[in-house]
Amino acid sequence: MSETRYMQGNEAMAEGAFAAGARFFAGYPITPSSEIAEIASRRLPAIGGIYMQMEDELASMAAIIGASLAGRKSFTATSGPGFSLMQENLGLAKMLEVPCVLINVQRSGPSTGLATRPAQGDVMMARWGTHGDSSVIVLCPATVQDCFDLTVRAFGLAEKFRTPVIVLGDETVAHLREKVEIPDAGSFDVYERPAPPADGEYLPAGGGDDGVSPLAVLGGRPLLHVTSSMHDATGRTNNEPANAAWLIRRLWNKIEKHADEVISTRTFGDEDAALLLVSYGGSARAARSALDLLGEAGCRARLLELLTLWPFPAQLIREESRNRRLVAVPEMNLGQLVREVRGCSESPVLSVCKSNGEPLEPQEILDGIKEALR
Amino acid sequence: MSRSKFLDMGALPHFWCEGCGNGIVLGAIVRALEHYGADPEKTVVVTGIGCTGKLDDYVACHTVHGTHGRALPVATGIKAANPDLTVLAVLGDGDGATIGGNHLLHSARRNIGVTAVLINNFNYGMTGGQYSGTTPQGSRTATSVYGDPEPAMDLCRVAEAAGASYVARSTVYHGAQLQRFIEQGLSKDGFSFIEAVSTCPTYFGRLNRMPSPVDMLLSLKDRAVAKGSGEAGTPGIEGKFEIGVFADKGLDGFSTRYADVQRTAVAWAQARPAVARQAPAKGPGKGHWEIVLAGFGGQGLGLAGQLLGEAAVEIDGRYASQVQAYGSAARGGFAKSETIVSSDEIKYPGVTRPNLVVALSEEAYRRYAGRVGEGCLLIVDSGVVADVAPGVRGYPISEMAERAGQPQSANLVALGLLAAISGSVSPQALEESIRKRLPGNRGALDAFRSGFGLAEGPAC
Repeated sequence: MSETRYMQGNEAMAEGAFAAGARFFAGYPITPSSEIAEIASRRLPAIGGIYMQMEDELASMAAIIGASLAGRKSFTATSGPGFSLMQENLGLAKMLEVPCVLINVQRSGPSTGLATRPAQGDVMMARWGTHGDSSVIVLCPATVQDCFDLTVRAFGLAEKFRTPVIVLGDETVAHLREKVEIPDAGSFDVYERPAPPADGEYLPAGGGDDGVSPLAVLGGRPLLHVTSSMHDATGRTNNEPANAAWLIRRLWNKIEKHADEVISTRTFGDEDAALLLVSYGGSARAARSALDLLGEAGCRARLLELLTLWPFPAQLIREESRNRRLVAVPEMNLGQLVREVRGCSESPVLSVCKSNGEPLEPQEILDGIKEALR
Repeated sequence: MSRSKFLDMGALPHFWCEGCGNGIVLGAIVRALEHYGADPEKTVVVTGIGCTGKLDDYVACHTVHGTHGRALPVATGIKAANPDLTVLAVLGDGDGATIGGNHLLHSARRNIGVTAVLINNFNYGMTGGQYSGTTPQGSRTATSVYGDPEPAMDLCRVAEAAGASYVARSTVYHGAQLQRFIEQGLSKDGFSFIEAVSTCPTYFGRLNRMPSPVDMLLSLKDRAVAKGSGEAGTPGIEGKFEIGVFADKGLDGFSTRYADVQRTAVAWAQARPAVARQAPAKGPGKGHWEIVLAGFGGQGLGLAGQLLGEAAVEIDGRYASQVQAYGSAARGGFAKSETIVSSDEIKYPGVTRPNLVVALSEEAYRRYAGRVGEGCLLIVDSGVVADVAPGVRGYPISEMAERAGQPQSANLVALGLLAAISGSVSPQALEESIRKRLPGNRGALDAFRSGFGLAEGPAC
């Protein structure tokens, strides 16, 4: 059973977090994500949870890492400038292998930019923003329903893979109100953190070549040692090159080798259309309408909507792009994800991009494609 | 002195240089934890980066070694998530007071129940001895060979001013006192800050005419005076500085205060039980409508759009979507609320071909006047725009609101009017939405109904 609601994207992400069992939020106010903090400040204390307003985004990310290690499902929400500051401790969460969820509602940059206006300029920062080699899980909602569903899923993936998960929203979806079905508690899966055995040898950073060890909780048995420095399976510092090679590779493999469990996509339109659109987030909504406009103009098209941006669904795009006349990638930036699509597409790729703080409109996608096909 | 169970003997010998004060502080910490009666399974030691950041390697309890300067916010998250834990953050002067200075201020202000032990050795040891926020002015370091031009910060006075419940200073020459202060700190509900003035003979001492560990220890012995015993300044290599307890205010910690917030929130929730919602039933609303409510910020256009969408989705079982543009200042400037109401799932939620626009300001009217030829019905508040172009329908919207004694309810009059004209959502559904969102506001319903009735009369 479910409840039909008319809800804002930010509200749905917050509700998704609570539904997934999140009971700790630490953040710093920033447009256009502030509604999430406001809702968390009201809801969490009423359900045994904790809301903390930190001094900055460095502290916000650090605090959710601490709270998660202490056993609470934890999250934060921010936008571009705050996401920049969070990169430092996002790396810490990756290295300590701490499950947590970071919601980034993208806005127009660089720097302060257009503080209240939409963009999708953080696609590459989400992937590569923190220093060093590491993999990452990034989910991207295109509807308010996705805002709820993907946030629930983000918490599950975070626990399962012992990693931070980024929900990469954008202003158009976060401030959009539309119909959403909120499933009743108990009618959907909530992934709970497995506990290691209390006795016997515990290897907090074990996990073989591509797995993870269960995470002990601060405040119980066994004792937990985690460190941001290079470490071996015991969680203690170890600077040997062979050990470093193993840990760096395991942190990579634990996500990349299991990409199939993370990747989700949707398709619309004809399977054998000459034209393929690949899009995500708010741009994907424009692409859905563009399919109709293209059809009216006599051009059959198919849309591949990415709900997972990272790990990147390269294999799927390789297959989907086969035997197309053109693959177009609409996005609200100067062309970020299009680079990845170019790397695996088997047909010519067109970037349809817009970066002026205004949402991408269906007609603009049509115009861009018409221009390219002329 | 007996050995503490908090010392991980298997991890020794430690990594620090001969003559470094960190080992003395480590001894004081593990003995204080033991004497305080802490349980290793309920104790967490959090460190940042630097020589001090290695300290977690030698303690036998839970440990988290994090990023440079961020030990305090990590410790804050741990303590807030589980107030039953004993949480100790061990900081260096570069780490905890320079790059992490903001966290120190706010941990003190917030009075999070963490005990912070900051080892002040006047420089960045791990990176080769550069100057930090506590390096004495004029002293030489790897980045101040001509003398540090910057004055040092007195951390205890800063922590005290920022609101820390417990603040104390000792030195590595005064190990027993240091241990006692740490133990006192552990017993406090609020934030405890203990500064341990320390030695770095390898870098700071060598460059400042104290090449041997003994020189440095004797300097601490000679300069430290008991709190309140006379003229004293910031810890350094000239003049005196005070050691002792700077503050012991017995303040409630964050978790104690937040427990009050939780009790209040639960009481509020119990006083306002969730209203059972009924599943939407197919209402009489029809057509695909792209509706724009335009005016200026503060008119409640977003609320009107929200009521429209809520009624459509939650009661009439239709689809709706709403985007709302606003500037960073919410009131006064041009504002609009765009709502699509449809029988089908909405692909692109932005209004690209509006077929109904209600303009509540002169600017809004001007912006949409050109749309009339494109099959768009433009309705204006005749109280705002006197001379309307042919094809535009004027209604006395604000006048109606004033007449109903609800001058701020022009948005709801407009909502009633557009509902009657479009038939996109049933009036019953809208009234239910208004009752739900504005409970007890009889005037809101009156305004809506007067707007709905306006449609029956002639437009001007």
